[in-house]
Amino acid sequence: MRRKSVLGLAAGGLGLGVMAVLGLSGVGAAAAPTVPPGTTVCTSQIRADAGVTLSGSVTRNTSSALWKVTVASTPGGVETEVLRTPTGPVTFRLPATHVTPPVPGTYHFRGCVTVTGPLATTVQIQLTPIA
Amino acid sequence: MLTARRRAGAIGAVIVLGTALALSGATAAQAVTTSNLPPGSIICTDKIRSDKGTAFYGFVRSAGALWMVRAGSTADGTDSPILQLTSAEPSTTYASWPGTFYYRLCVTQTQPVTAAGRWNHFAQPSANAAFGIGPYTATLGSGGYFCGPSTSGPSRIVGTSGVPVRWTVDVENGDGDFLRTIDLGTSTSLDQLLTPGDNEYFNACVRNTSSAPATLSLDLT
Repeated sequence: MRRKSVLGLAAGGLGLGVMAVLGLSGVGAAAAPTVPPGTTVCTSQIRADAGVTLSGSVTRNTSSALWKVTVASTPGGVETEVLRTPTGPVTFRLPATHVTPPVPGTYHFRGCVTVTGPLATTVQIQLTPIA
Repeated sequence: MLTARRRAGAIGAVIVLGTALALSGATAAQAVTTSNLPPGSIICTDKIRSDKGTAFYGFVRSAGALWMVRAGSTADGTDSPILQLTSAEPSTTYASWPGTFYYRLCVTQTQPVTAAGRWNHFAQPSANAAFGIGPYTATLGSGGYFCGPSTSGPSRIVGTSGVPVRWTVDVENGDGDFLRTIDLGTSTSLDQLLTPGDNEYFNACVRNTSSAPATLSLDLT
């Protein structure tokens, strides 16, 4: 499976502001290249105390996608999946999904989306800390 | 109550939702809820104990509802939201944090209409999983109803409500075919023994027949 990392747009290392990723280039959906089924796009890690909000969409509305949030206790540490949810082929937009830890603490979150087909598409994914 | 009393099936729900249960990795035991939700109504399932997370899918016609998974470290202690999203028909969504937690699913009708809904809440397969822990709780607007707790063995049905509500039991066979409804009367409290017949399953239900919203709990123990 292809996996591509993408650039965040804000101070993700501090867990401040918005860690937004639009398409693969990080410069907006319109400029994002089309990716084939099997491609996974992930955000950078962001540190958050109160959880994160994941949202996004695939721009070709006949495509399906699988969205995940992983969490690690340390930057770059072993990541554990804490959310998995599909979209498509009818609903191609992931609603704002709030993920909050059951046990208080500081966690390092990452959002990923995998295009599951059947057609190539651009993707948008956004992961923001909950204030 | 702490027992694996949920029955296999929910075949109807699988067909209605077009969601393949076999793909979910779920055990056969799960909580299936059917409902009619006036605006502002909230229904929370009983709890599932799991060391491998929980999952749900369902629908609320037609504009969507707020779906919230809550988790706590004890069966009867406090819990907190770990997942929230607004959707009319969420596909199978998994929430899983390391450790053993008690999960429940709460669905809130956020639209200004009365809407039908149905959802399944289950655990990932695990020897440590348990179902049907504690009561369903709800705030039901006037005319709202839900069916949730279920059993295939002798059980007590226990309910409390702030206003008079109608308690009933829907009886189904092992294929999920509806057989009859048992009317347990209209009251603010209920405590009766139920004994299903062979190949019968009881689904406990409640309808708010009062004009004011009902804050209630319903359990099979």
